[in-house]
Amino acid sequence: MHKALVETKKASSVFGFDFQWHDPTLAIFGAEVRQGDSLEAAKDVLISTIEGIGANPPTKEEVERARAQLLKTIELTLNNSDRVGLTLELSSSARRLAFVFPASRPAPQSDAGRSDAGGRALFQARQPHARAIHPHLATGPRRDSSHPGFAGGAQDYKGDATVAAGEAFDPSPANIEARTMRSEAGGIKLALLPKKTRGGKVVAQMALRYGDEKSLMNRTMAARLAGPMLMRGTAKHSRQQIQDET
Amino acid sequence: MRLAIAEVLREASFPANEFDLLKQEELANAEQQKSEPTQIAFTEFGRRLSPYPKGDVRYISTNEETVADLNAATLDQAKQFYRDFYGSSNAQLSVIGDFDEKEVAGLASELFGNWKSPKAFVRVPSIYTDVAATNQSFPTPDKANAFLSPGSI
Repeated sequence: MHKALVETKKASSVFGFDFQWHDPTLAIFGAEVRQGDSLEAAKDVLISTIEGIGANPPTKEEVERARAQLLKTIELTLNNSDRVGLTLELSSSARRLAFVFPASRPAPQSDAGRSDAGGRALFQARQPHARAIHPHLATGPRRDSSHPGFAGGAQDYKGDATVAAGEAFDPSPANIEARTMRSEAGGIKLALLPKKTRGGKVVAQMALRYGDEKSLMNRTMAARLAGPMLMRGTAKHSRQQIQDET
Repeated sequence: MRLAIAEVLREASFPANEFDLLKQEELANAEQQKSEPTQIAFTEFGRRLSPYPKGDVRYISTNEETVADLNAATLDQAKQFYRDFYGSSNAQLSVIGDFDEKEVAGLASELFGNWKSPKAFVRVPSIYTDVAATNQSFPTPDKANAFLSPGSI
């Protein structure tokens, strides 16, 4: 969708998500179109891209990328004790995704047959003139009696090795100061606080200070656009490669 | 990690197609914010408390000015800004967690030790200005909700 809509400038951004529910439900896709640009043109490409998934199934590389991002998100969530409870409380599908999916680590595949079926289901389901597409099945939502239930796939679940729990840390300013090591490297002032953390997590933050009142005059927009451009390509890596690495 | 921090900061290549896409995204955001009561209130509130001349780094643009500035912005201006200002001569790096402090200090020195900022850094102060009290409203006929931003300095 990004390639078909954003890179061709028919839309400024795209999104898509679905719900992992017991019964057939919604998958929602959307495109944000700039004022003055054609909503109809964007709608046509949006629909043809989704319906064309049978003819243009995701490549192995794309599936692998989605899988790697999902695994990373799960790992970071599980390392973050205040997020784990909230995430798992939300739904059993979140629990299954968090535990069963990484444990089974499904191999990347590009299943053209499955994509084709998905494309057809969406095609049959859409409301032809609606701007919001409602891909209910043609007969409407119905209960799926063959559904394996919420425990489906989890019977044989064996957890990964327990993550390191971290240390009990006294968060008082005095202790933080006592444990922080300050030094300089070139023009950089360093503040390093090594401590045991859950899952071996490390957080780093870097601030670059630049310019003065005079040199920054009339450069505001250039500054605003220069920052985000850093993540959009280097001499050796494309935006996509940078996204995959981070 | 090395890729994420050092290469992205020091070897950004500013691809032209990505710059165009970024502008499109920013323009779409600005256009969307145009009639949002919350955004209008914060912008107008900020403009009254920050009476700096247009062009000043502390100046707060109107939505129309942002759209005009975005339309006028060029890839060369963004690249030139990067070349003129980016460097680690005045930087702070904080790291917390499970790491070896000698290794991280060594890496910071190796990756950024020679990255000189081309232009000098002097902090730009916020200057107190005695702003007369005002009470203004900005009708947004197509929005049912209102937003109030009271404040004083």
